Formats: sequence, structure tokens, C-alpha cells
Amino acid sequence: MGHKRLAAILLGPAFLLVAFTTVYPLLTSFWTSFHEFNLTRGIEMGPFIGLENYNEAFNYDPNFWTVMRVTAKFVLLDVSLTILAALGLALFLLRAGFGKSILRTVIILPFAMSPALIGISWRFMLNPEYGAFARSIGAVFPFMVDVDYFASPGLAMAALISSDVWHWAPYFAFMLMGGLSGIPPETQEAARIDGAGNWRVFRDITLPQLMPVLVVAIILKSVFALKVFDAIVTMTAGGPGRETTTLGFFAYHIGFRDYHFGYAAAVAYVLTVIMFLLSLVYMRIAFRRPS
Amino acid sequence: MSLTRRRLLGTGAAIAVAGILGAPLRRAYAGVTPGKPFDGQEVNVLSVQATQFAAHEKRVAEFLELTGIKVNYIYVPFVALRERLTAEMVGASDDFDIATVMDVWVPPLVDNYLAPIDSMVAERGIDLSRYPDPFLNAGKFPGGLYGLPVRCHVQLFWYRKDLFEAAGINPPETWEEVSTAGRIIMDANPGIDGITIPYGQRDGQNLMVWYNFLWGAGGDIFDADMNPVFNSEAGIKATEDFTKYILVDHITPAGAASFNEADSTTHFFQGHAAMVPVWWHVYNRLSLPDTAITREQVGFKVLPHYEGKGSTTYTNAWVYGINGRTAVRAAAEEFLDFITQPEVERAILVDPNEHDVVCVHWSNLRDPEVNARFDGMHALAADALATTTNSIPNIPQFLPIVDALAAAVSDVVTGAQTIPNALNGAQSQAARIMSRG
Repeated sequence: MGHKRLAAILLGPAFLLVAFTTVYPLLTSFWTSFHEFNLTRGIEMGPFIGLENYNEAFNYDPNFWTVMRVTAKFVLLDVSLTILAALGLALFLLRAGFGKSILRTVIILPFAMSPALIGISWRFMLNPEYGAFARSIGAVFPFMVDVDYFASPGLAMAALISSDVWHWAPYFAFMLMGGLSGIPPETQEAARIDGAGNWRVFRDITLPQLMPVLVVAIILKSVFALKVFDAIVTMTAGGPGRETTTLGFFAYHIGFRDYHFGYAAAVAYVLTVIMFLLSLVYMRIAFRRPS
Repeated sequence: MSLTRRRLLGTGAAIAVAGILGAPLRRAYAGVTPGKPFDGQEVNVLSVQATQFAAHEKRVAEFLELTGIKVNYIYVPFVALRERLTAEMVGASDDFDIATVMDVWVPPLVDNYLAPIDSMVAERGIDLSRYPDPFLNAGKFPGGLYGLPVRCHVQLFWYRKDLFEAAGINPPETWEEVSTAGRIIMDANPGIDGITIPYGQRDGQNLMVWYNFLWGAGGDIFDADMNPVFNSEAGIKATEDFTKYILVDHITPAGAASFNEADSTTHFFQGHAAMVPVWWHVYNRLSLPDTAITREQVGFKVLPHYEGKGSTTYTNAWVYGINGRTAVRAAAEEFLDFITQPEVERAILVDPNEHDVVCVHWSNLRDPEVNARFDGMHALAADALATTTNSIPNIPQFLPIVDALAAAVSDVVTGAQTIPNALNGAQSQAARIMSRG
């Protein structure tokens, strides 16, 4: 048996599996996005309507642009804060002395929790009547007593982002710890001998060498942030108004709450294109050949 | 033509013969065809988890004995039922022969999953006037009747009798009086909120009480031509009055802007609020061991109303419908007829071992024994139902319209938009949804 033939036989099952579970649904939903498909009218896909569903999203549905704005705000803030927190945690954990391994185990715990459970827990903990977080914040900042976190667009978004940062920061901290461990200590020591302070060493020596890992972390977290769903369903339900409705939750709502499968497919494809572009960048960085 | 003795006797004889010939159609037991014509068949029921359906399931053994039909109840929690029904519909499944469906979920299922039952109603002589219209309407469509009411809820106004008595005031009759009563009680009882209302938009729950304000103020969701008109003057007035308690009077709990129905009800039954407009099924919570307030402390009445208008109630109605793809349609009809008999419902209501208050038949709503057991609650509900002429529209487009309206009301409550802006925005979305069909 030739080498190519053996490779084809070995790769065949994996290729078929990916084609069946990923490529086929992607193509089907893409085709659906060009059709009128409303379950309230029938369970069969309706007529081909070209770009009408995309036209509805971009030109007629006022919610679409609200949701795009909310998604952009969420991704930007969530990714920035998660990576910053992760970087801080990574630097701290690398230096921590006594109890280092226990600390690392404890810190990873939030990542082990289900996002849906986190959403429900945070919703309870931020309840102004009996929530532990809300009560604690109120004790420190009296003007925050009785504040309804989920009734204010800014605070609801802050709550959602906080829970997501709490969930993801440990994972990315461990990822960045790997990157930091790979930096040769001699480069930092040489800079210190030349009189550079801690901040200067971090900014000019550590950060540039950490950059490849950092970029991958940012791109990965952006993809995770774009597809956030569970926490929104359980914590804010997209409200108040549409102020925490992101693109993924919006597509779900249109498809599985309002039964407009064609329009939902179009909205989901907007999200897919954004994620695809981010994935391309990620692939180019993660698998580029060393120069 | 003159009526002779011979003709009269002849007619009488004909009626008697017809009666004898028609005897097999008469049932020895309400809703059951004699002779077990469907013996050995099996009917699967997709049901939401509720004590009422558990009580129905207890009648399954008796039904098997009477008809030879085996009935299996498969329960799905409320939060998962809608997705399950959607999956059954899209998959063109015949796994279930009968399904329990909530009112706003019915329109998409009409003809896609649920089949009309008009022929069954006619053949079996089911008297539909036994149901209040707001309940029956949940299953009524231009193409026919698609379900019989089975689990319907009426809103009542629950209040702390002890606090009102201590304050020397009567429970409010009008929505305006709620403000005054709430303030008096709050001032006299620090730590207790005047009224708790679910102002949170999750699943459109902030509209449940709002509908009563809208109808009471003379507004409606649509006009006669199905144009959305909830942004009318009456709609704006209704929304002003509905949000006044939280935005102006400040007599609601701190978290009310994001409360759902469960939060709101729990707040009341924990003893933290003096009034709550909510479904009648919360009656059962008074007998729960962990409820902070006792039955003696709580009173209930029909919802307050606008001056000079009758009280209304938005209803939440569930129907039993038959799957259009069932292979055992006749057996499914037999069970549906049996289980929706007023006698079955009454037996559950007066059974001391059962605790479900749900009642969908006029006869049971007015039944003295039922009312004696539940402190006259059902008679009050009947009064509210009798004066409720509006109901939510049975159209498939209503789900996204609920979504737009709930977001608009949420925006008003959180101060993100003014009432006219929010309602006008939702109206233009609703108009577009209607125009797209």
C-alpha cells in the first residue's frame, strides 16, 4: 500500500466526521440564511429570498445594530480585563512562595465551574435584597446600597463582564505562565545589570517576548467572548432592554424563541464571519514558521 | 299540516327507536365510550411538570380499567418544554399523541404539530360553554379548535390582611389607591415594601400585570385590523401608571426592576411586601412549612382596576392538544375527553390529598364545595373572568412582539427611554413584524 493511500485511509474517518459534524451544518445554515424559513408558517424551508435576511439585519432591524454595539462593547472590555487580570495573576503565581501549589489549585477552580451555574450564582449574589456581593459592596460604598445591578445597562454589563473575567482569567493566567516561563531569565538579568527598573524590564524585555503567547490568548478570548451565551441566559436574559444581548444570544432568540430560522441563520453567519476572521489570524500566528 | 294523535305517536316512536339505535354512543362514564373499542392501544402524553398533571396521571389506572387504553405521562420541566415541543414539531415526530402547550406557544404549533379537534368536540358533544372565554381562546384559531383548556391561571391581588388591619385601611380597589396604601404601610412598617411586581423582562414577565393596566385604561395590543396600537394615549397612560410604583412612588423592592414572577412572589411570601398581583396558584404556598407568613395574615381579591371600570385578569392558559401525526387518534381523543371532564377536575379540587387549585370550568369555579375549601378564591376568579373581555392575540407573530414590548417596558423602568419613545419604538418593530407575516 502506497504512502498516500495509507494516509487517505487513516485520515478518511476523521475527515468524514468533521465534514458531517461541522462542514455540513455550516453549509446548511448558510443555505438557510438565503431562504424564508419561519417555523410558525410550516416546518419546511420556504422560498429562496436572496440577501433579504441580511438586508433585514443591516437595514431594517433596529435591534441588530444595538446588539452589534453591545457585542463590541462586551468583547472589548471583557477581553481587555480578562487578559490584564490573567497577566497579573500569572506574574503573581510565578513569584508566589509558600503555598504556591495550593494557590494555583484554588485559583483554577472558577474555570472548573459551569458558566450557567456561574450566571445563576452571580445573579443571586448581586441581588440587592439578599446577595452577598451586593451587601458587601453596599457596606463599603453606602451609595451602592439597594442598587439593582440588573436594572442598569452599565451595571448589568459590568456584572456580566465581571463574572466572565472571574471564570476565564485563571485559564489564561496558566497559559501566560507557560509563556513567561519560556522567557530566558538572562535577558531580564542583563537589563537589570544595565540599571533597568522592574517596570522597564517588564515593558521592554518581558512583554515583547511574551507577545506571541499574548496575541494568541487575546484572539482565543475574543472568540470565547463572541460566543458567550450561558451566563447571559442565566444572569441577565439579555436585559435590561437589549443592553446585554450579544450576537450569539440574539441569534438564539430569533431562531428558538421567535422561530425565524432563516433570519437567525443570517445573524449567526455574521457572527461566524467575525469568528472565522479571528480564527484565521490565530492560525497564522499560532502556526507560523519561525523566521 | 295538522298535528294529529297518530302523527304525535309516530314521532314519539321514531324518537324512541332513534334513542335505542343511538344507545352505543351514550357513555356509561363521562367521556368514555362503552365497549372498550380502543382496548390495547397506548397513548403517550407530553406534559409539563405540575401537581395537576401528576393528579391526572393518578387517574390513568382507572382509565385503563374503563377503556383498555394505556396512558403514559412523560414529564418535562417548564424551562425545557418549549424547546422539546419545537424539536417534536421540526422532527415531525409522533412520539407523543397528546401534549400540554402554553397559550403563546400554541400558534406556531397549529397544523405543524397540533391537529384541529372540532370533529371530536362535535361527535362527543363536548359543551364548550363550560369554559370561560379567556381560557378557551388559547386553543381557538381561524382553522378550528386545537386544544381543550386544562391548566389555566387567573391573576388575583394578594395582600397582607394583618398589615392593612393594623393600618386601619382597606385593600385598594383601584390602581391609584395602591400608591396610597403602599406608602401608608411602608411608613408604618419599616423594612416592608408596599407592593412587589415583576418588572424584569425575562420571558416577557414584565407584561403580565401591564396587560391589565393597558386593558383597564381602554387600550389594547392591536386594533380591529391587527395594527399594533399599544402606543396609543391609553397605552402611554397605562405604562405611566404601571411604572409609577417603582419610578415615582418608590413603594417596590430594591430589586424589582429585574424581578421575575418567582422573585416577586417569593418576596411577598417571605413577608417583605404588603401586596402582590400574581396567579392564584400561589395559594398553595401558604401551606408550605418554610413560608414566613401564615394563611391568616393573607387576604386576596380581584385585581384593582381603573375608576369606573371592572377588574380584569390576564390569564395564562395551557391546553391539551392532539398531535396531528398520532397513529392512535381515536384513543387519544378518548383520553382527552375523559381527562378534561369537569367531574375529574372537581374530584381533584375537593380531594384533601391534592393541593392544586387549578380550575377551568365555570361549574367548578362556582362550586360551593370547591370554594369552601379554598376560601372562596375560585368564585373571585370567576368574577374577574366574567369582566375580562380582552386577551392576548392568538397569532404566530405575537412571540417577537412580546419580546419587543418587554424590552420597551424594561427600558422605561430602567430609565433608558421615555414612555412614548419606548412604546413608539416597539410599535414600529411590531408593525414590521406584522408586515413580514
